[in-house]
Amino acid sequence: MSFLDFDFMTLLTLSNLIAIFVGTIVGLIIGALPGLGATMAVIFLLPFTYTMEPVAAVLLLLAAFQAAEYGGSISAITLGIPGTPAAVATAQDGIPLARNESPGKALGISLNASVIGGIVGALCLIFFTEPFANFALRLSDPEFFLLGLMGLIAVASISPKGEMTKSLISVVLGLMVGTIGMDMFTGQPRFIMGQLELMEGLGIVALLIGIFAIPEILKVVKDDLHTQFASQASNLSTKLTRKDMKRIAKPIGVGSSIGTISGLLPGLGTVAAAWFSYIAAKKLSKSPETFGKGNPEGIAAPESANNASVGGALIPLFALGIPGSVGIAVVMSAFIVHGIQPGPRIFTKDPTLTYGILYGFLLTTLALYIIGRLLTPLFARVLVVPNSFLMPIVYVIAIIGGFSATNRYFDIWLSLILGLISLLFVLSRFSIAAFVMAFVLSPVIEVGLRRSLLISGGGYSIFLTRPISLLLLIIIILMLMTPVFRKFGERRKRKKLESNSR
Amino acid sequence: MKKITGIILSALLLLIITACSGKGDANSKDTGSGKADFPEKPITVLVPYAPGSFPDNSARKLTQLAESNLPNDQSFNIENVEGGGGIIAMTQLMNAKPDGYTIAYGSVSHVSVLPHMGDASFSHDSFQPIMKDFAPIPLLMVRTDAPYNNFEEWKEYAEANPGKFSYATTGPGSISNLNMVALAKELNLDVKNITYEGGSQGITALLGKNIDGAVVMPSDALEHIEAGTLKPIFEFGQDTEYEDAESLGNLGLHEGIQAFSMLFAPKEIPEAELEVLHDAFKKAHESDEYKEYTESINAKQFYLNPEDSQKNVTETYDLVGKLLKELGLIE
Repeated sequence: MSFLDFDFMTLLTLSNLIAIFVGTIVGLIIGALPGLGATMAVIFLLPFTYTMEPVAAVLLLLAAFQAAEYGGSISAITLGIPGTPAAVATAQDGIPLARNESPGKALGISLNASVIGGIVGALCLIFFTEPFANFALRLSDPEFFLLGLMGLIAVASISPKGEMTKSLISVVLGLMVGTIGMDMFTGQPRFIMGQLELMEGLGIVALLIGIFAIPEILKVVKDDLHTQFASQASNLSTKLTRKDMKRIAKPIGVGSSIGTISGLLPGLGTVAAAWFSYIAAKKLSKSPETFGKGNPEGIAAPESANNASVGGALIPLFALGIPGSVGIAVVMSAFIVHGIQPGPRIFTKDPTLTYGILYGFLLTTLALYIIGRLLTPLFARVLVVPNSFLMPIVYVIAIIGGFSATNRYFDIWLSLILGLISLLFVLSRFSIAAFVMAFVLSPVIEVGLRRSLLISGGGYSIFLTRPISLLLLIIIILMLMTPVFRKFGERRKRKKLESNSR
Repeated sequence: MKKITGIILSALLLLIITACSGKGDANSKDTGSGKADFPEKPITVLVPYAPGSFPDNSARKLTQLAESNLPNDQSFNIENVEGGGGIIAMTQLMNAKPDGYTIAYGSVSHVSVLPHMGDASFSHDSFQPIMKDFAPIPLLMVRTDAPYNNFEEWKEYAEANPGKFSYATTGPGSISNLNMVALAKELNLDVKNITYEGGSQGITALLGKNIDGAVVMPSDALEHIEAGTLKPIFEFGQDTEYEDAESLGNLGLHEGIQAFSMLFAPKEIPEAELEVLHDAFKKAHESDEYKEYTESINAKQFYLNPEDSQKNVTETYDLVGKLLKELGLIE
C-alpha cells in the first residue's frame, strides 16, 4: 500500500477527532505555562492513552506536542517569560513587538508561522521519511560537535553592539554550568557539590524558571507593578493583514526548512531549530537592524522552525525506531504499549495504522490553527490584568510547573537561587539568551568531541575525512572570517572614495 | 469587563492547577467505603526512570494490570523520580513509611551495582523485594555487512585486529558495559568501548557505520534484526532464540549479569501488606496480556517470590562486586 491508497474514513472517526481536539487544547495550555513545554504535555497525557485505540492514542500525544510548541511562544510574548529554550529565540522580537505595538499581532504571527511550519514538517514526514532518515544517519558525533560550535558562534552574532564581552562571559558560564552532573564516559560526578539531585545535571525546567520567570517577575515588581501591559483590548486581535503575511512568508520558509532538518538531529532538536532559523532569517532580511526590536520576521522564523522540527523529529522514529528526544520517546512508548514497534518495517507491517497516524498528524496542524485562533485572544487578555494581580499568579504557576516536572523540592530551591543570581545578571545587562544557548549546547559539544576522539583513537583527522563534517568546518571558518573580510572591504571602499574625491 | 476577565482568569488558573496536580485526584475513588483492609488509598509506585523509557513502560503496564487485582478498588500511582541514576528514588523508598503505600519498580543496577559505587546510602539488603519481574538479555549486535557471522568468526576478527573492534554500551557500571568488559577479559580480547546515552543512540551510531557493534537490550535491536540491517552475534544468557546467534552459556563461558527488574517495598513492611501486593503483581505477571507484552519486547519472564528474589539480589551483588574489583573500578 502506498500513501495515496489510504482510506481516509478510517482516520476521520469521532474518537480520533476528539483525541486531536483534546490534545491540542491540553498542549496549548501546558505549553503556555512558563517552564513547561511539549515534553511535559505528552508526559501528562501518556497515562490516558493506555485505554485508547492505538491511532487515537498516538494522535492525542502528537496533537499535544504540536500545540505545545506553539503554546511556548504565548508566555514568551505575553509575559516576557519564554517557557522553553526554543521560545527564547521567539522572545527576542516577540516581547518588543508585543510591548511596543500589539500583543495580538505578535501572537497572530506566531500562530500562523507555527501552523505553516507544522504543515511543512508533516509533509516531509509523509513523503520523504526514507531519504531524510538516511541523511540523519550520516550525521554523527563529529558533525554534532561542529554544529554545536556553529551555534556558539551564532550566539555571538546576535549579541547587541558593544555588549560582546558580556555575551561571551554568558556563553562561558553557560558552557561551565552545562558540565555539571555525571561524566558519562567515566561515571564520575562533576561539580555536584554533594547533591545527588545534580547527578544528571541541572534540570532544564528548573533552570528556565530560575533564569527567566523569576527575574522577570522581580523586575516587574521593581519597576512597573502598578501598571498593566496592555491598556486596550483592541490591541489583542490576532488577525493579520495581507501585508503582514507577505512580510513573514520568507522567514517562515527559512524556518520551516531549517526546523525540519534540525528536528532530525537528536539532542539539538527544537532549540537549534529555533536559533539557527532566527539567525538565518536575520541574515536574509532586508532590515536586519530591526531584529531584536520587534521585527515580525524574528517571531515567524523560530516559531515556524520549532513546529517544523516536530515532523522532523518523528522521521527517525518512524524510519529507524529511534527517538531523538525525551518527548519523542514518550510518544514512542505509546506506540509500544499498543504493540506497535516503530522501525523500518512499520510501513509494510501496519500500513493503515501508520498512514492513519501520518495523515492524522497533518490534521493536528489544522486543529492547532482553529483552536489557536479561538484560545489565543483569551491568553492575550491576560495582559489587561494589572501587574499587581498578574505577577503573583504567574509566580505560583511557575513554581508549581517547575515542581511538577520532576516532583523534587530540590528543584524549587534551585529555581529560587538561580532566580536571584540571574536577576543580578539581567540588571547588569548580561545576555541570558546566550547563557541558555551555551548551556544547551555544552553537552552536545563536549560529548561530540570526546566521542569523536574516542572513535578515531585520538586523531583529529576524523573531522576532515567525513564530507559533511568537512563542509561544516568550512562554514565555520567562513563565519569566523566574515567580519574580517567586511572590515577589509570597508577600508578599501573608504580608500577608493578618498582617492576619488581628490 | 474586569469581572469577566477575573472569572476567566480564575477558571484558567483552576484548570491549570488541576492539570498540574495530576493523576492523584482523578484516581482517588471512594476511599472511605468498604473494609478497612489494606489498601485504603492509592499506592505510590516510584519509578526511578524517565517517563516513556523502557523500564517506565514495563512498570506502567504491570501496575495497570495489577490494579484490577487490588482489594477495595484501589489503584497505583506512578511517580517518576529521576536523578542520581536511581539513588534518589531508592533513598526515598528506604525512608518511606513501611505501610505498603510506597513501593518502587527497581532494577539490578539499583540494588546490586549502585551500592558498590559509594554514593548510595542503601545496600543490597536494605529493601524487601516483592517479586522479580523479568529480565531482558543483552545482545551483541553488528551490521549485516560485517565480515563475521558468528561468535567464533567475531572472536578471530577481534584477536587478529587488536584495539579495532569498537562497540557501544551505556557507560561504566552499566550492565551492558560490565558484561562486555568481563567477556573481553575472559577471552583476553582488546576491544574498544564507546559510551552512549542509551541503547537507541548506540544503534544509531552502529547503523551510521561510526562503530562496529553495540551491546543492547533486545527491544532496541529486534526491529533491525527483522529488517535485516543488523544481526546478533551472541547473547549474554543461558540459551538463545535467535538464529545464527549463540549464547555465552552454551559456549561454556560466564553468561553475564541479568538486567532484571524487581518490585521493592521498604524493609519493615508487615507480612499481610506484602502478601496483598505480591499476589496482585503475581496475578498480573501471569496474565496473558503481560506475557504478550514481555514477548513483544523480547524479554524473558523470571518470576521469583520475595525470599528467592532477595537471594537473587544478594548473589548478583556479590558477583558484580567481584567483577568491579577485578576491573579495578572499585577497591
